[in-house]
Amino acid sequence: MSRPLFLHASLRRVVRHAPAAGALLALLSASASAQTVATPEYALKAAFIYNFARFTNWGDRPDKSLTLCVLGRDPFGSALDTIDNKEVGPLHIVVKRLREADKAFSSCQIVFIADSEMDNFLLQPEQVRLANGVMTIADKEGAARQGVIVELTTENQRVGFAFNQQSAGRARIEVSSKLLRLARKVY
Amino acid sequence: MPTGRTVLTSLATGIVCIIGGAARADDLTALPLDQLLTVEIVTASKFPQKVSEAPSSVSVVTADDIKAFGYRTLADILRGMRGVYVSYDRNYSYVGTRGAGRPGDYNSRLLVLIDGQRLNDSLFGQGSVGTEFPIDVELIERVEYVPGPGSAVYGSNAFFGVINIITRKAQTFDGTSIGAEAASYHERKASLITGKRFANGGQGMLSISDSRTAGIDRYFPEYDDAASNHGLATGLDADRYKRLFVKYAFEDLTLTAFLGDRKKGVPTASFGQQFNDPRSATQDRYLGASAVFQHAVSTTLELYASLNFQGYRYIGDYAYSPDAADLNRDVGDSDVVTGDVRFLDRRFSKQKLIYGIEVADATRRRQQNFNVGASESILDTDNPTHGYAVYLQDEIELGNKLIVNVGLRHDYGKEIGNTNSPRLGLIYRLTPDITTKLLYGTAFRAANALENYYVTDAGHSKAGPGLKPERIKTYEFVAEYFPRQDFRSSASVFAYRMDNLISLATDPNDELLYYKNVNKASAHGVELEAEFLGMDGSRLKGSASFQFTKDGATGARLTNSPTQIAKLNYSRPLMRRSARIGLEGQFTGKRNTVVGGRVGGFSVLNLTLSNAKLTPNLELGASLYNVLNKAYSDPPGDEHFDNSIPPRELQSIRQNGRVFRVNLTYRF
Repeated sequence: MSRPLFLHASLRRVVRHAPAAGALLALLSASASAQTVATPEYALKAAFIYNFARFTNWGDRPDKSLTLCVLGRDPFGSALDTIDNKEVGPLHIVVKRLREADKAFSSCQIVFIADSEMDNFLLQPEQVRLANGVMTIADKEGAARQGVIVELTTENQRVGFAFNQQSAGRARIEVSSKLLRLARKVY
Repeated sequence: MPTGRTVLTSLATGIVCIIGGAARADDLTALPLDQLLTVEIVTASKFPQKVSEAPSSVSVVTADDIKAFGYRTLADILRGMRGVYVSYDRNYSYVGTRGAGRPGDYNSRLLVLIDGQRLNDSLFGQGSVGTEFPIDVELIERVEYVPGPGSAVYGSNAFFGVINIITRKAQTFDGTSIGAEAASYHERKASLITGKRFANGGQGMLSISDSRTAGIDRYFPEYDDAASNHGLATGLDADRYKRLFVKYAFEDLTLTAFLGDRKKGVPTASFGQQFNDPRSATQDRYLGASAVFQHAVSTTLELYASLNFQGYRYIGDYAYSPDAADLNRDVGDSDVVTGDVRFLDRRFSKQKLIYGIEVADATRRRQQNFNVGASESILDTDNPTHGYAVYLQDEIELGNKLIVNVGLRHDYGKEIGNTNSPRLGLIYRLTPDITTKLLYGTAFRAANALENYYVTDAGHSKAGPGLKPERIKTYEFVAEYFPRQDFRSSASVFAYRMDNLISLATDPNDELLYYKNVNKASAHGVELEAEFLGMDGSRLKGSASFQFTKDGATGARLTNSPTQIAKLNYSRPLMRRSARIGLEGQFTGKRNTVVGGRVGGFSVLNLTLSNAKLTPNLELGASLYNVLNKAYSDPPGDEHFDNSIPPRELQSIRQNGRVFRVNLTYRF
């Protein structure tokens, strides 16, 4: 049998199978259009972090920058780029990604602790974990209970946050009462 | 009947619908905080943590994956894993891993654990993974597959690998759901799952299911003649199973029980039967019950204690001749009680010690063979056995870069005597992103009751010399590169050496068959895998493996051993909604067969829609398996021959073409 004929046969086969696939896809789009559009988790979490920065009193910073560091394996992908360079009052956000804990707690004002670093973080002494003027944020379950200042929580496909006031006090992080009011849980 | 054009248009529209709708430009940072709290998200996928420090290269399939790719059996789940291939002989499914998989061995070289409890019975050591596996996939939280020897922890049968099925916690079942499924080949399945929280804080769940597949009339060209219904096995591919699963958890105690009963028609005339005889069938029944107590004795000491009963019954009906009075029945019964006490001890800094003792008592290991209706028995032998094992494993952190993992298990068994299985793993964090592992492992498989005691005159068999356990030694080097939260990859190089493999042999003096430790074999190869998580909730995983095996006696490649295997899995939410679409591609290279032939390589493509909410309570899933309707075959074991003289042997066993499946779940 010549090649074109063979090709024709396989094309015919594809067409014969297409109804089922087409029906499946039509079903998919029908079921999809019946529902509302949702937002990627970390795009929303980036927006939350931006708001935490806005509701915190950072005092007067001579270099006019607010350094936000991701410690460990970055779960945000490109989502943090949307708040990089954004203004918070007179300051602007600078996003950095770091792997060393001591560097993060000495040079950043906001530290997001990724899952990969949580175990290590909890082993650090208190003067590192609650370094002066550093807001710690994590999204691992139980983070706020374990002393992280802000924990991003997920419940029923919605993001919220828990706040550890005691940790915030020790780290001298001063936030607005509005933030505390909207927290799902305050420790 | 749609025309070609409308069909193509609807196909194209569907694809555009799916690919479009990905990006949304509005700036979330412009929204006030109280509004952010109401925004619905699609949850980002996450890798399971801490896999990096395990002394192995684990593959994990989660409940989400099971749904996303429409897996229906444990065999389907395993097919989706790196380097694994599964052959189906239209009765049992045989798992091959790293180039080693013997059709006909009932997976006795693979240990299957359900929540840490052994499923392999004490008669055949069978590791069931097909529809005879007694747990519904909907009840599975995740499946962990550890390739390589696991005897240093688990003892016998953990030869080529260990599959641990972790069932969902009782707490995750709240309320009731009813499921209905229909698929090609006249498959129907109904299931019910219900969970309840009791006033004392305990949580219970119960699941029952019933599935029947009528199957189609299978054609076997080897049997094609006028006397054999032109090679058509009529109604013999039927598969029916019933399952029950209950779990109750209260504080530190978890009680689990399950029952699985499957009956499968045998269309292949295996073991010299009359082809197309409607009586050919096998039945596999499991009854398991376990109590597990997990308790933190102190902040540094955790206790795990379990008591487990496992009953297995096999009934095989063999129609060797068309004579109505001549139906042969094979019955196997295995009852085993196992007790296990284990400690996880962290009292020494930078060390994790695991030590324990396990006692197993196989109170019944009975094999019977008789002709149905006849009074005399052909075989009736019961060989109870017992054994115990002690084991120790230590994970020592040296500095902050090196972990040494040493393990040793000592097994004593009435039949096998004393056996030691050591293992050693060095895990070195080269950089924060790169972890390397050097692993050495050993394992054994004790000869099973079939090999030791199944001796009949009719089967022209005799007892062989005392069978020693089969042994394996392996070396493996693994490198894992995990630079970002959304990407990781691994490469593994392995070398296996197997010795004392048990095979059926013929004594030239009396022409009788007996089992003997004869074979040596070796395998080496490479496995590569990469996984990527998209911000939109998509997941992409791909793997390729290359393996080379050698029969120690002939130097030839092992049978049922493909040189290449590749997998590709992609799934993503459908336009950022809970519904998900999953696309899976699997390639298996050509394989030699035990009857001296070869089956060709093949690619299979599966497409699944899951989690589509038709109403808030009603959920739809649908799959198209083998989308391209690829015709492919698996290599048979050497038991697939009929009663003709000379016997006609099956050269290959044809697999399913395109299969459509739809399932609905209603929760209330």
